[in-house]
Amino acid sequence: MQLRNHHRQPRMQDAVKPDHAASDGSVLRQVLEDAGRLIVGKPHELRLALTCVLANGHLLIEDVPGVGKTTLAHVLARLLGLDFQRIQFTADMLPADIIGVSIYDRDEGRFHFHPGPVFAQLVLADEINRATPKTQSALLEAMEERQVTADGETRELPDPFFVIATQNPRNQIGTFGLPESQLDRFLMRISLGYPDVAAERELLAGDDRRLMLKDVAARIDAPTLLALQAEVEQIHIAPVLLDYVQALLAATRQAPRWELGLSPRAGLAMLRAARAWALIDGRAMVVPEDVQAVLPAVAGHRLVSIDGDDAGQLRELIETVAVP
Amino acid sequence: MRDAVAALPIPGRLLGALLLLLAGLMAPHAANLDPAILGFFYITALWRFTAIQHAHWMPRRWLLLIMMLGALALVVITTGLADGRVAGTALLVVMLGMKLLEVRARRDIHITVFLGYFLVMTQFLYDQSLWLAAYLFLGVVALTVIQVGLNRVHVDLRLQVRHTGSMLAAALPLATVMFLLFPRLDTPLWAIHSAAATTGISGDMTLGDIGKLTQSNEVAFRVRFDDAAPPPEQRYWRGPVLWQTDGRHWSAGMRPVPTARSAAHAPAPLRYEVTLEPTGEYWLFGLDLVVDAPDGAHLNRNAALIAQQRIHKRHSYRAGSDPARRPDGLSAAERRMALQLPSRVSARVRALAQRWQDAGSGDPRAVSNQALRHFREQPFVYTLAPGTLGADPVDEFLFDTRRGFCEHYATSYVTLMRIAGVPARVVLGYQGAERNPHAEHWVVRQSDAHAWAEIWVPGEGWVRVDPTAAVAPERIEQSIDTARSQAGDRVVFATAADGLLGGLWRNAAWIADAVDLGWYRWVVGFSALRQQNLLSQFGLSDLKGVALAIALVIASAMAVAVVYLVARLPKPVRRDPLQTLWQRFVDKLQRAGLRPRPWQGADTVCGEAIQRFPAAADQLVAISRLYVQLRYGRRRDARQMSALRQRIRVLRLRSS
Repeated sequence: MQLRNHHRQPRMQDAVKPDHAASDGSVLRQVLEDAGRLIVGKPHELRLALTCVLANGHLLIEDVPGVGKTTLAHVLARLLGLDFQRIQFTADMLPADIIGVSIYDRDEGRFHFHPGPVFAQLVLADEINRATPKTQSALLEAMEERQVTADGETRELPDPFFVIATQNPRNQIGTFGLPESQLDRFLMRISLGYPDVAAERELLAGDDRRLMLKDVAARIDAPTLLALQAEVEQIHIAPVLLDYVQALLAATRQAPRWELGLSPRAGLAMLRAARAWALIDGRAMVVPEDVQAVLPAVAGHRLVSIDGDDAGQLRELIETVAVP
Repeated sequence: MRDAVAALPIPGRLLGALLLLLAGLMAPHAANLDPAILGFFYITALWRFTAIQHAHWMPRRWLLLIMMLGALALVVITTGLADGRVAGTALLVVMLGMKLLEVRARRDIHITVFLGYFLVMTQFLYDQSLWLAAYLFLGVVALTVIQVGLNRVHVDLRLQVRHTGSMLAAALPLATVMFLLFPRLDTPLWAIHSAAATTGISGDMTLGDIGKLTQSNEVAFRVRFDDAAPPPEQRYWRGPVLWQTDGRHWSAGMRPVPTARSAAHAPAPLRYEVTLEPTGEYWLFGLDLVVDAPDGAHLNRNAALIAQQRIHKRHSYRAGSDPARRPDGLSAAERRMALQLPSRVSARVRALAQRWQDAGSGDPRAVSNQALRHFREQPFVYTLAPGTLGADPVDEFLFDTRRGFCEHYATSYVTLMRIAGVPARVVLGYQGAERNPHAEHWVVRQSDAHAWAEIWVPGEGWVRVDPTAAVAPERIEQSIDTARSQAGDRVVFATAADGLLGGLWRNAAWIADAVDLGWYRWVVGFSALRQQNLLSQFGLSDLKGVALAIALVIASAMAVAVVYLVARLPKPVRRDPLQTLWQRFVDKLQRAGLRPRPWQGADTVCGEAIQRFPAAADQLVAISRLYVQLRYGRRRDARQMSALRQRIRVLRLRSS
């Protein structure tokens, strides 16, 4: 990561300037800087979360309670200027609790639709695996279609629309784990994990996060975010980089430790995430490091490992494929 | 996949190219086939070519049937079925034409391409020269390129040429093995009847024959000496010997009997290999005097080499000669023949010979010297244009015209010797040889054709006497310049000074001559004998018949295995210059003690290098940035490339 700084501040006068993205990504780095003041010691995870937003994908955070998942979602909504809804999933929740209900209005003499909490630009779906599969799938369908259908009428969800779902580790009691096909709807899965000693100390010594949240000012707004998302699409991917991604996909299919290799859709997700990652650096092209940075988050929940999940397995995978 | 491609419509461009190619490959047959046969083919080809654009022009089935009957009749009428080779070729050509009118699917084009390969092969039944072979080889390559294109959905010329190249390369080892080991036949499968008249020395001679012959610059034969070539005055290439004369016409007169076989194989100080151009005769030419006859030929009583068959195509043979030896043996019958005189001998000729006989007092050499002095001292002229001689040519030549060529001198001399009682005979052959400066061989041309004489000297044998040398000694040292001699009166001899352009032209002609002989020696003339020689060099001299066939099978299998293994080798990675440049950088890092891994990207590699060598941070950042831009960026330009090359070259890594 060290070198990225040099990219930003070219010290040498070279005859030819490298490609630069239309926006140099500085505003995005400010977003990360601000978020880093509340979520201490997790810059990589923060950046992955931002990447996920920029790549127009949904994020799944898998973690034990109390490590700052909710705070992360709040902070992102604030900084990106998005309106925010939180849905706390429970076992007795129904799909209508998410999507909304039509209620008969006696004055007007007809049904009136009351939108549910899903009609927000950033939705935090807390503890999604506590709900029944039926309710889960109502949200996941909304995520996929970016629209909901209630009483035979289709309603568009806001744009941008971004879901951060959190999930308790599967071995906890009273949970319905998401099936693989549903996990595929999330661009990335990350876990924050416990902070290290210094970060934890800072947390304990510092102000209440809830109070701090109130002071967070938006760095960008929804239209800017849409423009940035459009810019992600323009980031150049060289043919040799496609070779690299294909080699990575092939490696997951050949490795015996996974039941199934990555799908072409996973490859597309990887490219999209890598583009967004490159944009944060203000780079107009994707380099292998971008792919390597997003690979564990993009591929982790799409692979079923025979001998238990382990982030280290994906790191080893990266080390078996030569960069072009 | 194959079926899917086969079902595609006919690619017009490919078919058009194939038609043009076949028309080109047909062209050399103009020398071999009746114009009507070729005309038939070209009409059908043109017809099909037009039908590429106008599909309704394709002939109906009944018309095809009629045309086929007509074509068969054409073959029977034009060839008369006399020569199987010509008739077979003609049949193939007209049937190829008929096939063109039948091409409606890709499969038909495949068949046409294969017929094209056959067409190429038939050319070699008539001509095996290097130039034709090169032309036909290009044709085969083009046919294969079309064949490859037929198996593809889209025409991609570069790809097709590349595939053709690799296919031909894969075929090469097997072809080489086949060429080297395939059992050779000593006699060809079919007799080649060469209708074309060949120039050269024949078994008899009428005055003026050789004069005509020497106006041809054509090659008579080429010689490679095992060691040094003999000096010019020994370069007499012996051919037929003439005994019988009527004054104007000379012939062998009797059928010479072969010598004993043992006498035909004696140790020889001069060994050489002759490649004789077709003559249509039995004569083989050997350096005077042949003592070791080649295989398949014998020496006759006249010490001339006789082949078992007429030489209708190029023929190579090895012989050995001993310039010091002379033919010997003179039977009573031969003595009579060697003293035979024309029915009419004029009084002044007889008187001249009589005078020499008296002066020589029975010593043949003395008599001969008298005659030579006469030629030298009287105003005789050596010329290619002696004018016509009348009823008694010897008399007219000796006393009236005194203008003549080697044949005039030789025949007059022999006649005079016979009158003087010395047994004498005329020998035909070639005198001289010119070395090809670009090769190790010597060339004897028709213009070197020569006639000389031999006289019988008791106790010594047949002694060669060349009366021409008495008149024009330079004839023996130099060749005749044919181009310049025709117009002029006196014979002009070839000299080295030709001017720049002439020199260049002469040089080019010599190079072509060297290539031509090399082609013949190593390819066309690779006979059973040469095959055995080659095998014995590898200690396989016993490889004959079935053993050779088995060796062929084994070697073929090995060749196929080699091709298979080579094809399975990992393809050499075509590294682009950027990759090479980056590798140079990585090597530099490794020498500095860093260990960049293959999976690490440029940024990561440089990042680690900067941690180790902070002093070089600026350079490393620049290198990384340029490389990333060149490798993964949208724009690339040469300036960035040279900037990167420059930076990698000047990079110095020192731990601070």
